[in-house]
Amino acid sequence: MDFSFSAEQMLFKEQVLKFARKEIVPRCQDHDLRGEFDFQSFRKLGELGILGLHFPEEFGGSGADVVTSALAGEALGEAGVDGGLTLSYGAHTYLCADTIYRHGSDKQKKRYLPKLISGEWIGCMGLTEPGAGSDVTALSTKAVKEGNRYILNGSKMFITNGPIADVAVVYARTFQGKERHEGISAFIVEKGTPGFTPGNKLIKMGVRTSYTSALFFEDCSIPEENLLGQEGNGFLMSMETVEWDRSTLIAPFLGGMAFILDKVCRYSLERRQFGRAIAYFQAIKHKIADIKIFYEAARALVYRIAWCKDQGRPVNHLEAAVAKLFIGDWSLIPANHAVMIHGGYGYCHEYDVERNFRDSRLAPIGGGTSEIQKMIISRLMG
Amino acid sequence: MNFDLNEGQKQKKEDLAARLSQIFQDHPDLSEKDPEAVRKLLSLLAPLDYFFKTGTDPEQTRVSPFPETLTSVLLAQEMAQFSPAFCQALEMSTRLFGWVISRWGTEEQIQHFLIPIQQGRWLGAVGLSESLGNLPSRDMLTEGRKDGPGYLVNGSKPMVINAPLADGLGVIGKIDGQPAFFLLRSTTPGLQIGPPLATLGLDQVAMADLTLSHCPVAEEQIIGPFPDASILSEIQTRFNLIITTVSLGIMERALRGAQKVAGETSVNGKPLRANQEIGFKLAEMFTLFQTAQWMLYRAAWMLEAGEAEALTTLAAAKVFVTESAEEVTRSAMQIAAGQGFLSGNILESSFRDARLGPVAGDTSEVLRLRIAEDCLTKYKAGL
Repeated sequence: MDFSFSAEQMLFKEQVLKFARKEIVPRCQDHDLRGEFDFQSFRKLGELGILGLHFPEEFGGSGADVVTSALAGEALGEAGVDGGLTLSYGAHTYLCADTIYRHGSDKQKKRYLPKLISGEWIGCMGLTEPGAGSDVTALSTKAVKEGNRYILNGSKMFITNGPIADVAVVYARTFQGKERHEGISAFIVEKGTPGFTPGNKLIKMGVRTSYTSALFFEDCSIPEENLLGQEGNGFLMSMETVEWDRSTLIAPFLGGMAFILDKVCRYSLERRQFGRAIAYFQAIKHKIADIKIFYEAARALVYRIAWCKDQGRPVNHLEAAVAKLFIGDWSLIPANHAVMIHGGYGYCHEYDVERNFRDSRLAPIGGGTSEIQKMIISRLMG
Repeated sequence: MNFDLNEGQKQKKEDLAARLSQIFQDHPDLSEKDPEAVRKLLSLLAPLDYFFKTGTDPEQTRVSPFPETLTSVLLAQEMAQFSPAFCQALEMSTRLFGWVISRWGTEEQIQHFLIPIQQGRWLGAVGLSESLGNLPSRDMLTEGRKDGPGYLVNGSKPMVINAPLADGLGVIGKIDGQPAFFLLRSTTPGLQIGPPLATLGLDQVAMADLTLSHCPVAEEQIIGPFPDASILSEIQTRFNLIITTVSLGIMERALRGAQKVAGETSVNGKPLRANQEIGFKLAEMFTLFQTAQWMLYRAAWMLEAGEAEALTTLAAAKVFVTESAEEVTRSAMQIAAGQGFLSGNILESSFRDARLGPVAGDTSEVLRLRIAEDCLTKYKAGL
């Protein structure tokens, strides 16, 4: 066993931290307050190469390993980048672009990946439906083959980047197999395709700079070459994809714990009550310690999955579910502690811990709720 | 980065598991509350690579190196699944008492005190804390004073694990204000070992108070004195590591036990675990166990690698692992319901055993203060 990062990886993380603190973080509070997506910062992530770290250079990526990609996510969270931007980046890179990279044809890769990796185009993934959340097999969006085209009908819900996406990877049922998971296929649908309409931006409690909406397909006709991979393989593709949701996408939450640890140290040393800094009260120290403890506890879980992926073990459902459940449920404790240490200020938008508290609430919900993770774990734990 | 065990570690774990299965099958009496059982187990395990890398030669007169920290944790975790109490007793003997001698002892001290431990002939114990505090510190009262060619040691050490059975004892104290480690035989004049203390859990662990009253200790039996207190924190760190590892083993034992109950018990025609309430509880237990396990492995690796943050990470691991062990054992008992409350059931004993973790060594409260202070210090230093 070896839990170390290479010198290059650590240097890279430092670079991302510096970049994010200088270029992105100063803009976060304002965008969060207005609930607006920060296109400028997103494009800067593309310029720095963050959006395409693990993709081959031929598509504009850096060919980095998954551990390095997770480090980038952690660095963004640690710098204080809001959960909305990191969520949008994750959905764009891992749920959309990575699916195209892994299952797309050469033509599809050449058409979509360079623009997605540079940030010129924004991607999303349409899997969840109003009546099918984590139960992918219940999805009802249909794709019917007519000649050399597929006609999509149905709707998707809670789609990150939905209102602003130029490209969507959409899952739909192409036939009804013997088993419920059979007959699901994935397609690429471009913005502006007739019959494809994103819904209005949903107003959310947290991750407010990330736009979320429904997607509607009404006799949406797409060419057959927009089928991703083989027809009927969508279920397996979606399972592989959501594993990113439960691994690299949660790295920013890990970094977020380091961020609020820094915030509570600063505030508790500055804030004086009863003649001394509150940092010197045991009750405050215990909360600070808890934040550090949960941060340390979560680290190995996140990087274990990233490392597994680097070893060519693409499917790690049990490990991913454990990491997602732990970070989802337990990251709420540090977030809450941070607000409590800040007292009334912690309840005010001016202090970043308030935003972190709201953003953290998504962790046990998005990418498969904690309840779903428990179902997976109880089934696979032996 | 590599999350896999190396071949040597895998082999050692497998060998130990096979050997322990055989031992507990061949010697069912080992599970009884027999104070001598731990000594028997010690001799049965001595030929194995459990305590040291080598050690099969009974005539061996040179001590062999200790396994690396992470490997020690892996093996102790395996051992604790069979018996947390035996694990704790043997770990305190070898990887605390033995480790101190191996780390700082002279050749003569190694010959007299460590070789018998390695050969499974002796059980060791270490007296750390004092009634004035749970930490070995410069404030401790146990002290050696020069008396002719040797020293006379006075003091007391409460709740010393293995004390009633120990052949060799190490007692932390001071000489002229500086920390020192006194090596004693159990027969040393003036050394009083109190009656075994009744405890809530870890039934087979023998624990007693020590009183040292004008104990004569030859100069050759003293490790130190040391110019600074780093030896105290190093020993305390090892102590905490052992307690944490035993807690991990307790947690794993309870988890497996609960899984068995939930799989074998049938309610309304279906396995207990098919009920979502039970399945989810098992999932939460598994998640805590996995998280605790990786956290401890990482802390042990950091300690071994000399990483700057190792001590804080280990402190965090001790708090998390020992408190999670309590949570997991409580859930395990709940899953087994009334059966889990019956004595003689491993879920019942695990529940009691897990209570030691957060109070032994540095308590969770002390560690939380230390972790926070480390965070604040680093923040102030701009790290």
